Amino acid sequence: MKSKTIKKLYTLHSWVGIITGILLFVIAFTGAVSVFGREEIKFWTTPEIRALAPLDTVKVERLIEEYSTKVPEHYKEEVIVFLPGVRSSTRLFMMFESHHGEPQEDTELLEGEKPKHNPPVATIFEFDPITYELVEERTGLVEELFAKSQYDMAEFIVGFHADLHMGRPIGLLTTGVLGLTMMLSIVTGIFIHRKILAQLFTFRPRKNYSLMLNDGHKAIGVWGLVFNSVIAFTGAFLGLAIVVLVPAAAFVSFNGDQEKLIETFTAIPDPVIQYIAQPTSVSTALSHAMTLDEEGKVSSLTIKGYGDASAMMYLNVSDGESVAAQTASYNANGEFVELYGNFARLDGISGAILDVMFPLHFGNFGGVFVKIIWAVLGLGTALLPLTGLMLWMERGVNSANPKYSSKTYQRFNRLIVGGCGGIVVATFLLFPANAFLKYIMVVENVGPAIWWPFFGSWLFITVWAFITQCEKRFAKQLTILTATILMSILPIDIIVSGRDMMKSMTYGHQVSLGIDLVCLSMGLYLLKVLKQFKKTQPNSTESNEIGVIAKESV
Amino acid sequence: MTEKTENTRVSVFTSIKSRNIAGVLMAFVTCIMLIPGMTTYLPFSAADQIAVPILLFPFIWTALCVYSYLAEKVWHPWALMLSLSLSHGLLSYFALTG
Repeated sequence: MKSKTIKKLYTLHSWVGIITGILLFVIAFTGAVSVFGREEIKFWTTPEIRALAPLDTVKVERLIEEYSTKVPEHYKEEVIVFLPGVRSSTRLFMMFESHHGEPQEDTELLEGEKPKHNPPVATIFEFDPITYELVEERTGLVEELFAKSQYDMAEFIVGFHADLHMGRPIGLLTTGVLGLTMMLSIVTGIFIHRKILAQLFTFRPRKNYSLMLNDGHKAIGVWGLVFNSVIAFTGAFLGLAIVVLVPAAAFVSFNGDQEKLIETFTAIPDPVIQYIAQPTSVSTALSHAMTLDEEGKVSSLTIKGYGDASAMMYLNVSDGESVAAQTASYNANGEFVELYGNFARLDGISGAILDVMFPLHFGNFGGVFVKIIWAVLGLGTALLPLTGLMLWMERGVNSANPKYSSKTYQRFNRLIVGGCGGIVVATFLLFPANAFLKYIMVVENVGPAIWWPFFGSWLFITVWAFITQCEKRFAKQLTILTATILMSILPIDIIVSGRDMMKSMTYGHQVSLGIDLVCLSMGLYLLKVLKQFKKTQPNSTESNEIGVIAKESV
Repeated sequence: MTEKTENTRVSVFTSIKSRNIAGVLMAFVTCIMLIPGMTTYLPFSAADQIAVPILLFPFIWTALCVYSYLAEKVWHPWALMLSLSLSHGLLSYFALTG
């Protein structure tokens, strides 16, 4: 390849990194944590669900039967049940929904006028996961019911990673475009760092700061190439699918009707109601579905035509041997019909690809081991833009003819320290903040309240990085703060659930203790690294470090 | 105190503003135009006809963006993207009206 072309690609690679680097770190770092959002962090935040007895399927069937008599007939169009202790569900959740809303009075339609549909309505019953006692009941528009749902730091961090809590379309568009720019960085990076094999095993952390950054950036990039490519592609797809891609695809094929497109591809077919009353054998179906995949978990159940001989049950089986989540269907008698991927039932090859997009992005297949690999590689993805940015500054500052003034480099360095260091502190602060709000302040819905410590601490640290005299010292203080927060997670968990943990070491407790120990180890490691950094400081080449600019300018 | 050094660097890109607009915005618009247009002629099943252009979106955008910056002459990527947008826009129009 011509050297001019390489130079152009290098410039493009640098620009993309400088513009998107901090945001990419934020998304990648929170992504690495949110891999455990459903259900590992949920176990940590909710000790009540750590030691649940195996699901009483007969009890679930009886509850559906009992509560189906308490809702209007048309609400039984679809019954959705989320099982407790699986993914982000903490209670046994039961929803009776009418897709077509409340019945409307017959009104004559004008010529060419389409009949209006009322918005979907539902009644939700939530039951205690241990006693199966009714805890909450609410009725209303489906949209409003879900908007008022309770959540905590587990859903908060997953939501932040998905759309930065900016919602649709801005948030999803931002993360989607970031996926695109990550693909651009990867493509340009491959061309400019062509000696891939040599870079696989080149890492000289003790030579000097500049070489450490250079080798680190290349080594992380090369080792994580396949993973980063998958994350960039699936991230771009998941971010842009709803806000850009589906509307564009529906434009011609469905005359712009996005809902019809989504319904065609995803909706479960409605059974033809026979009007022959027959009990729906929920218990048989649930019990069978739980044996389908040894590793898999049944997270939800959807019943169409409940109480009719034509009823069909669809159970979602995820986190099992298959990468894609599976749907197991059963008839009214609870007889197994088939097991399929959600999109794979469609004709063609794209269905199978669409099915694996989400699991490949979040690593929720093959159990917790895959999640650990995904989180470690995700941290590598976060380090990639960070080392790239530091490398760019390092080269800029030490250049004979710097492109920008040293003040500009310093401001940028402060932005990196504040923005990136801030998000790390804010993310780990979610653990003590969640416990504080739940147990000390006794806040019923922790989710909305947790916005304050998260965004407050991130903003405060970002602003403080610009005010502080020396950002290098500030970075060290942030490291100590992060280590302290990380080490506080174990004692908090022991205070909250210590006795229960001692009584029975269930899977939920093991997961929770795993989180505690990993955080403790990370905290201790951070302190060790900081200590080593201090020791090596007098021997390191001062002029090579950005921190020197701060001293110059003070 | 630090001093601002005079920048004597020469950019490797010509017509940088035009390339920025082409590489970021026009490439994005072209990809969006391609999705409905491609559904009209791809010889696949109904599901693939819709899903394949969607899945190709990130790859097409990356390719168009890189090309916008690497092309020798700035009008080349513009011509390519405008012709792609126009042709696929017309295909969509004919599919809707025909």
